[in-house]
Amino acid sequence: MAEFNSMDVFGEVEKSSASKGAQYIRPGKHIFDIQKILLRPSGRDESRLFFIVELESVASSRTDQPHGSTRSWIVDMTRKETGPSNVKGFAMALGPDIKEEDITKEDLNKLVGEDQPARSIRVSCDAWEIETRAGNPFTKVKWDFWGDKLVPDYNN
Amino acid sequence: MGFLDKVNAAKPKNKAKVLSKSATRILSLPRLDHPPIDTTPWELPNCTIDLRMIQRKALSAIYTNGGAFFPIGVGWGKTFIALLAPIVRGKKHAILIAPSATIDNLMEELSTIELNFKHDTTFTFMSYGELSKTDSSDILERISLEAPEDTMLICDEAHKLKRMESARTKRVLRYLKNNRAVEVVMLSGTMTNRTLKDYAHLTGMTLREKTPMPLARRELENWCEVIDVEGKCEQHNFIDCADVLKRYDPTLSSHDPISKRKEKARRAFAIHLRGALGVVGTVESALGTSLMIHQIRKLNSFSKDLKEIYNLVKDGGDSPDGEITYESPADLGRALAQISLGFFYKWKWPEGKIDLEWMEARSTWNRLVRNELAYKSKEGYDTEKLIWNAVGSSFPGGVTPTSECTELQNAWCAWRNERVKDPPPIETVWLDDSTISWAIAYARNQRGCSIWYQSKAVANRLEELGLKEVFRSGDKIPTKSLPDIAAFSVSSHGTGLNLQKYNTALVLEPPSSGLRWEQLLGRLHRPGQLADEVNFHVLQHTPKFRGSLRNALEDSKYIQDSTQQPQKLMFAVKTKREG
Repeated sequence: MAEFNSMDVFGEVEKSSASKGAQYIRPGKHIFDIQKILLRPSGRDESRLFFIVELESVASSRTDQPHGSTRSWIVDMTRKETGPSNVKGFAMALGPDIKEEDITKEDLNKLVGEDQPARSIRVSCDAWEIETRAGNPFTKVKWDFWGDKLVPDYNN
Repeated sequence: MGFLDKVNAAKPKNKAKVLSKSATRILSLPRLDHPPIDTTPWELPNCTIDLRMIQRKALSAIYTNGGAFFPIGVGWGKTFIALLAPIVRGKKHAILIAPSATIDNLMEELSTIELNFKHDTTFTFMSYGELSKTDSSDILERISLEAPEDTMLICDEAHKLKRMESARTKRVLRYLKNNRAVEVVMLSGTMTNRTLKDYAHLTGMTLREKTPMPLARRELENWCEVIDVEGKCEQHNFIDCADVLKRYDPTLSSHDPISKRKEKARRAFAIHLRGALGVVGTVESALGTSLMIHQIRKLNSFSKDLKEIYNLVKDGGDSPDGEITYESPADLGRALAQISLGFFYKWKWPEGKIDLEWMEARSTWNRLVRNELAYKSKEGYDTEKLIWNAVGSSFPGGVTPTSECTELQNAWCAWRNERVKDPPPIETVWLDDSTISWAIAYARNQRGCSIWYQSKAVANRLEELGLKEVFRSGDKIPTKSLPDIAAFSVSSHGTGLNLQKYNTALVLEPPSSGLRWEQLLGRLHRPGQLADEVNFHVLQHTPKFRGSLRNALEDSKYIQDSTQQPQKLMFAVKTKREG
């Protein structure tokens, strides 16, 4: 059973009106367990559709990302030039030998469905900062399947 | 091998189907249909009280688990459960919080308990009103007589704590955070009205880590989207609750049409909640007494002129005298309800001069205070008065508005200058009181009738037009010697009181909340009612009043589906009448 105590209960109850914002992936090397994958419209603009992966950190080169903390990776699917290809890159990291042509639209629909077939799969993520054409910083990520390989201690 | 097969093969060994952490926690919680307790060990030799099955089950849950959550229907004897709870658990001190109108009744019933049961518990009674007072920020800490492990907190009509942003809820929460060993029992016949958020925090306070509800706020939001009246119930919302709810209904699927999946999800949730350790609820509704709701759709006393005024206000959004433009749909709704009975309220400005500065400063300050209470409330900063004091002492060099002041400080300054003025008195303007006259005559034609009002203006008019017994907020209700015809306030007397002497009621201002209706109907339609039929006559002659009842029915359907507690408004036989 997961570890919960009354501190958590009250903590969660008390936090009820706190911000709902997610913590994004920051530059560094990370190993994550997948918790949830979903597709949902943006809260502010319903015409924008987001592919969201919620992850639990297993190891990270960042000291501000402890084991067990959660991070989100969000892809704006309405940006046709980057959204679908980013998602495809991620989907290919969900197994050791998944090829581009394996991935169908129907499969992706199931990936974000209530059965959550990818929950608990362990992936690695290299993230680094780039500058967009508009001059804004943007965190680019590269996903790879990690599976049951030994988890490295990035900080030593 | 397709994509999903490859994904499945990539999962950690022995984890073909992996649940989320939250679902794993919730599904591993113990479940129990609490058996009825034998109270003999606590009974005095001359004990004459024979507890009902539901009361014995609830006491058993307390005996086993300590903290307990009881969505028990109106009229099923929650008072005895509340009073016996600390006794069966062997607590030295019980703090019992209840609506002020029911405290006297609770104290009387405690005498009955003391004649029948032995115990060493000291009871402290407190009303929710007292808990909400400005100087009550730490009242629970102050009245704690014993160590936390010897103390039980019992909240009767616990729906009074449903608003997380209210000072009283935050005070209870803070007290429990600092006194974790205090066990908590929550009881209400109407725990929820439209959303799981009405009581998710209450299950957290009572059952702690054994709460069958999700702990993380974001997950709770998704459960709400699936189950609540206004939930969107989209596919992505399902992810967080599917594993739990499918345990009770494997056919549940996000591919079902929305109404079907919502109904299935609610039923599955109800089974889940009611089987949790420490939870006991009623599912029975049969009292052997029929419940009738007569909707008075056409009212001859509602004149053509009044109907015209009603339509003008509805379409134009201005008060009947044209002086006020109603700022929000809620304000307009209230005005339409008032006109439905023939009156409206207005500011009575001295010499007719409207003080715009006063109105603006007041409105801005109130808006910002609402925001502070919702997001920044803490001990010593959880009522309007405390926020006023805190902002007043936050200016570094004297109280002067500067460009560095926050919006709240500026609003404070503006309102400080204006609030010294006496607010303009509110005046009731009666356009036509024929409906009130009609109501008195209608009640007199019944063999005993309780008339239900919500506005002070209506109470005053009933009295002015000759009704002798008009009970107001704070009045002690002589439940054992009730007059044949009397008027009661929905908000003050609509909960907790036993008014089963009446089997007829006339509701002049129908509430729009299913929860409030359940309580109101339960004053008369309750175990112990001797009549074969209880009749509620409800004014339904304007779209506003019809909308209120429609809204309440929607609430009741949600409550019934998601708690399995039959709602009186749902099972009442409804007729349409003229008045």
